[in-house]
Amino acid sequence: MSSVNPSDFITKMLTRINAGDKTAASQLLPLVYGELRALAQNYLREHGPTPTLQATALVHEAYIRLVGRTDVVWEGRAHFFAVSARAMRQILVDYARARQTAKRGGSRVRITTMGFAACEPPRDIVLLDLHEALTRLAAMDPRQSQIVELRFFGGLKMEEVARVLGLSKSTVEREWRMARAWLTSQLERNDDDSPSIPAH
Amino acid sequence: MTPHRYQRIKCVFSELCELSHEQQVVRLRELRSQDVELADELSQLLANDASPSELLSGSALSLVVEISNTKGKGILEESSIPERIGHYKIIRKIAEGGMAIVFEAEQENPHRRVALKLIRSALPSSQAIRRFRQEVQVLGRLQHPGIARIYEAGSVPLGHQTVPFFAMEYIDGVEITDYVSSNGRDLPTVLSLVSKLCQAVQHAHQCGIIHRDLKPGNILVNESGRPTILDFGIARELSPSSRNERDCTQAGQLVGTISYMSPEQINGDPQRMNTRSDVYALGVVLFELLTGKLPHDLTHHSLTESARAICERQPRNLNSCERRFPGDLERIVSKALAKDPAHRYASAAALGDDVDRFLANQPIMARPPSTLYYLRKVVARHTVSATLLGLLFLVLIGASAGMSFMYVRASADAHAANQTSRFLQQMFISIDPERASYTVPVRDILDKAAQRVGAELDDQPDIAAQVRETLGITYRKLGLYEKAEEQLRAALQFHENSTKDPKRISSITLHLGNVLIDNGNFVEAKSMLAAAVQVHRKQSIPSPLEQADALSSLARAQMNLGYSMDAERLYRQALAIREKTLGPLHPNVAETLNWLAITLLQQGDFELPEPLLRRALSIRRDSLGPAHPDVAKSLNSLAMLLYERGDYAEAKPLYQEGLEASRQVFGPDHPHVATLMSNLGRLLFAGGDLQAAEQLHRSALKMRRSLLHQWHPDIASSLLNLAAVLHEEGYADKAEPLAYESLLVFRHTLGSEHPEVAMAMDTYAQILVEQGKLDAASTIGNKGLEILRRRLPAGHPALAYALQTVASIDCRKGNNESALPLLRESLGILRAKLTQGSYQTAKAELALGECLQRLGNDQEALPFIASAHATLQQLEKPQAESKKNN
Repeated sequence: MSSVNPSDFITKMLTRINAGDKTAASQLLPLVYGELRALAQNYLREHGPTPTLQATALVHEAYIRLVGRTDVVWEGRAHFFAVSARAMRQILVDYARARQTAKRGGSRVRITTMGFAACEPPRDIVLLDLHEALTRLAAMDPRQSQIVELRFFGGLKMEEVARVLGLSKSTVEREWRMARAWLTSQLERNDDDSPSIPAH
Repeated sequence: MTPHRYQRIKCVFSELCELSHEQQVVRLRELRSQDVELADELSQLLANDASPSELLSGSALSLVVEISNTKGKGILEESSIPERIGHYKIIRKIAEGGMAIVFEAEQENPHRRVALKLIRSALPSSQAIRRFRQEVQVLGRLQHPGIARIYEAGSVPLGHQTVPFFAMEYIDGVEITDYVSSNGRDLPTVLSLVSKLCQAVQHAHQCGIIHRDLKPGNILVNESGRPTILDFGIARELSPSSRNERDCTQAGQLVGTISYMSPEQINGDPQRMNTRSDVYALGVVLFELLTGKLPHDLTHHSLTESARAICERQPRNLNSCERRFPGDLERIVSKALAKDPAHRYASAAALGDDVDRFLANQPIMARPPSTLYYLRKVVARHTVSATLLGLLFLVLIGASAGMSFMYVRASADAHAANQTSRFLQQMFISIDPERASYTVPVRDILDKAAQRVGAELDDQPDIAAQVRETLGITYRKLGLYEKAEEQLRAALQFHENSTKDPKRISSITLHLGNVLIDNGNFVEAKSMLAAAVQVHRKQSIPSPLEQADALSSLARAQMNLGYSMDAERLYRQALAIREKTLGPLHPNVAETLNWLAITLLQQGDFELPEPLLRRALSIRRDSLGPAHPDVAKSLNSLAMLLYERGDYAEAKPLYQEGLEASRQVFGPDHPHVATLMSNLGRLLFAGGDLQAAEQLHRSALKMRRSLLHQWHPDIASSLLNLAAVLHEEGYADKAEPLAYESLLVFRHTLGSEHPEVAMAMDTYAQILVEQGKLDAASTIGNKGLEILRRRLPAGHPALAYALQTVASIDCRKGNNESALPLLRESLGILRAKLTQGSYQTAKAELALGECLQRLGNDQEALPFIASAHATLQQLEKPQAESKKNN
């Protein structure tokens, strides 16, 4: 069974997204996910956590590695950014979880440690809470949620977000302000409540 | 918050953003007088806008860098493991994660070892607590020896705070993969472990919980070989009540370990994720335990490549690994690993059942749709190796003719078995992939094989006979009875003339006899099967199970010939043998019980069948799982009983489900499907929904005409059903020729003394009455009644209907006096047999009341008429409502 050339596959998927096929994005996702993750891991391994590590740089590099050429119309690349932002979101959420999961092995008994560090500083939790809040936002205002995803997870600038979504820059800025304000209250609210399990 | 509310807030927020601070204050004050909550929300948002969360000012990746540098510090650090927590004595730390920590501990009362899990962080987030609580809830609902039990949950004071914890069963065991490899991958061990796992997973599914992370690392086996599933940490509830909770595993997150994830899980498609995703994982585990390898070779693959391999590539062949496995096992594994959940086993129980069946050397279950699915794959791919095709052949033959495949497998003559499969395999290879479409191939391949078997296996008649036998049985499963008959006759002839092997002859005879019954040739079937029963009786070495097969086949012939008393006797004999040999809880016992009940139903007995049917149903549910087609058959038989009793409302949904299920199993065009359509049509007719009934009977007739030979009694039934509906709709002229044709076909195959012929005569007579042909109606109606009196037990409802027909003719002729006793007898029967308030009883009451009125006996007439009207009104109500709703 011959395997499909990834760049052909991606170009095909991008063309399909362009043509309005919503399922194509979900097919593209695992691929972009894997690539971005591998890139991020390499960066961190080789350079350590340096300030030069930028989401956009990663996405661009992933794009070149996966598609291999730069002559695809900008719309095609815009879709790629959108998919990448989604993939980045997944990666970071996974990261947060994976690192927080127990180191397995050694022990003969394995039990879930489903959770996340809620230690100081609770960055993992913030990230995961944001991820959840964003999912709730998507249910009420999908466009705002996507803008946040592109900006925060995809590292895109306002103009780029506007171009990807085919909106004016001012619209994007207005929506972003509202989304940011709403998410801020969501994140703060999560800090407050800490219910406990009632004892039997 | 609703999207609508959010949009409203957004509107005002945008407006406010344009204003100066003073103007904002004025506007907010104004808003507050109208909608306090809205104003509060907006002031909060404006405050946030002025100082947004720091997090959102950067990009996410900087966060990664930051978090990768920090290490958690919570309570319960390594250095400070307490000696006791609550009433638990801590023995050692077992595992530790970001949020939770697990200890092996000892409980004093009751004295037992437990695994104690605690939230370890100083300031657990709400999400962390939610997850912890979710796991407690999930585990609390599960009560199964194959799932680690939860003992206690609560909070304990620790240091300066209160920490949530739970105590669960401590499993002293090893990971299932280690257990299996240290046992040399012994096949029965592996299979019985997987079967037990399936039971445990099925239990979780029945409690509404999908595990979603089944993998060897989560399965421990203890010393006595009992597997236990751990880790319901990412389990997801199926029940609607949990929908309000935020779904803890959002779409798009790749959780779990990729090798064990189903394609739909990888695609993060929560809509499509269901219990079958766990079935997939069980399939991977089974594959791994058998071969020591994973179905997809993911070494040196990036995550991306792995994900794609799982979603797009065929898993490797079970037999491409070092060991050889039987074809049935290969088929079980591929069915569990199907990419499309719809082609997988419907439940963990179904997978477990097949594993058990394989262990017990029984034919395994599989259904035509999946066969078509595999075949379509072959055809679509064009390039496929002969080995794969060989395996596909096993899939096909196993799927359509389990019995025969078992024979091939068990046959002492392995050479012949090989030859047989090679021949059929050739048939696959010769399909032209360019032309074949996936809707036809099974039948086409069989036809092609049937055409060529004579010429190509001319010099090997023994193998030709075996191929023919396989073909015959496969044709029968597909509902192609004439072709089945042809092949089985040829095979039988060969054995009778050449090998004279009594075992083969007897086995083929039973198949052929049953095909003859399917084909409506009851008389020949009876003589053939009666002879087979005699052969078994005389055998020096008795084989009780084969004898029971012969007895129940003969019973089926007798039942169809209208000799239901005889059929009852034979079924009871078969039942006794099977119960004695197989035990009272075997599926074959359930099958016999079911048939016995139907025979009793045919005798007009509506009391005795119910306990039999219920017993059969519970055996089937327990031994086969709730999704098995035999369970559907049982439900359908129960529906038949309800229908006969007049409980139409209860029978209807069961029939509808049965019809749907049989379409799933047999495909859209199959004699079984037509039968179920007929049943449902008769029920709708009896309930007064004539239009829908007519439509169903027309479709059933059309299907039967295309599948069966022209003298088949089922075609006569369909004609008669349709005639009855048209008659009731007032189209006596259209009904008459159909009823006449029906009578002709029935007489041709059943002779003139058959109860079914008499029932057809009854319908025909009613139509003639409507047309005013009273003399002809009278002759035919009386003749039918005579036959029924002779052939049916007293008090049979069919008798009641025939009595009414004859009485109505008398009334039309003005002979109310002679009609009266007939009507009384008829009502007496129906009142004894049918549920109170049934349509048929009401009709009988009305006829009797009106007859009494005509005879001037108003006093006796009125109560009957009143009761009939009350019933009819009652029956109209729900129907009118359901029409409104439609």
